[in-house]
Amino acid sequence: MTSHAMRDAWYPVGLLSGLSEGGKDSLLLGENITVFGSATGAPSVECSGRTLPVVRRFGHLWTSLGTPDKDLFTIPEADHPERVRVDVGVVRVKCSPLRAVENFLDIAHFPFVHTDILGAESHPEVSEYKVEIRDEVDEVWATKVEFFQPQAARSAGGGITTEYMYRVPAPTCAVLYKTCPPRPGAWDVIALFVQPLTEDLCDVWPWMALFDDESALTDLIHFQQLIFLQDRSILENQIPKRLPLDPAKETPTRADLTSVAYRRWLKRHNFTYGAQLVAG
Amino acid sequence: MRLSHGFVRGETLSCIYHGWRFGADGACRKIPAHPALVPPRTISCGPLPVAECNGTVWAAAKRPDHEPVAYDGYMALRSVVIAASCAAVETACQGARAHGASKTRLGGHDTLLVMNGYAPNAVLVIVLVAETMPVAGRLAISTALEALRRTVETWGRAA
Ligand SMILES: [Fe+2]
Repeated sequence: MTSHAMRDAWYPVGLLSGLSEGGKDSLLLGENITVFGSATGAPSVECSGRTLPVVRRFGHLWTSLGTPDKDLFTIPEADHPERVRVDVGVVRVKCSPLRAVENFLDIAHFPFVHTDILGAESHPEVSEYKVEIRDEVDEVWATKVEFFQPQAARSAGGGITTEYMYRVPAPTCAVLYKTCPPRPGAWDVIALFVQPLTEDLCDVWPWMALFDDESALTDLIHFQQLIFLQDRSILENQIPKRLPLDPAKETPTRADLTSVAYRRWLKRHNFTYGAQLVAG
Repeated sequence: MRLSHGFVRGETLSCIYHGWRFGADGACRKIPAHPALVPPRTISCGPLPVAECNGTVWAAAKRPDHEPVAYDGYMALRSVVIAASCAAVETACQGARAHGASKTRLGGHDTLLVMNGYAPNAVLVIVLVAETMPVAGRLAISTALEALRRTVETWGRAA
């Protein structure tokens, strides 16, 4: 399969701070690529002798196998000068890239997978929230998501009801805005940038832009890695391996409306790399 | 997500992912994200008939007309999952078939292996040992079972 809609999207392929001038081999949508750093600040990506377009943003290098019809999305909130921007690094996961994004959009698993950190078994309820596909920006948004969290962030002292907003601006990227414990009224930004290596293998690059002037950078990274490693044990065991886009395949509840909208949006755009369309 | 990754909570089996609870009849009893909701009857995980024998749980697609074979004087010691085919495991342990179990020397002791090749490349092996087996013997058998697993999986990679 060489021609599909996801070829024209942007994907992260490395941390700008971690590129090598000698080049590093990787994969993108099943094709071999080489990612080159540069002492003069102009990194590049090659695929079978072809030079691919690149964008440097959010601490990562981004590329595309096709011809993106729009610029890589922005996260204006993340530009605030007082935020700490955290390059978390990379986690390789044996799962569909779309499954990795969908799991990130799901809050109902917090009490069971991130027990006593992002959720508590005593407070599993997901109250009603709002989901929409915003046609003017062509993004999936979930707002007014509220959830009780024992330790919402590294900077949180105790249990609080956290408010969330989720945004899917690209097929394998999701941005989460959540209550910022030390600064009420502002949002912490946590993003999941997924590099699809194959249909059932991906490199996940979490990234954060937080108001937190107390925690050490190492502690912030460790917190995010702990959470994501808990997710990995789930992601690598999901059945079927590819994300089913056939609505009859699974039994969604009200808590899953974000995921339902994400699947519908993927289907609408033929973003099917890592998806299964036929029941199986 | 397989329910075998989950936990027993009271009289229900709780899924590890979202905590949905299923009763012995397979019906969903509780969806924690929506505590006020009575789960519709259509949500069921499809239970299988089961029987217990020699400390081992047996399951069948349809209730068979006989009970599992009992091995008198034997008890289940432990299980292991081997990433190989059933045939490869049987070849490796050169076991003589005895009423569905493979009679095998492990760690210098007679053992019975019962197997379930639940995927083309995954076999659940349960090792049964004499009920009177002392601790030192059990440890030796357990160690030998691990060695058997490594041997079979190494063959698989070499092939
Ligand atoms: Fe999670």
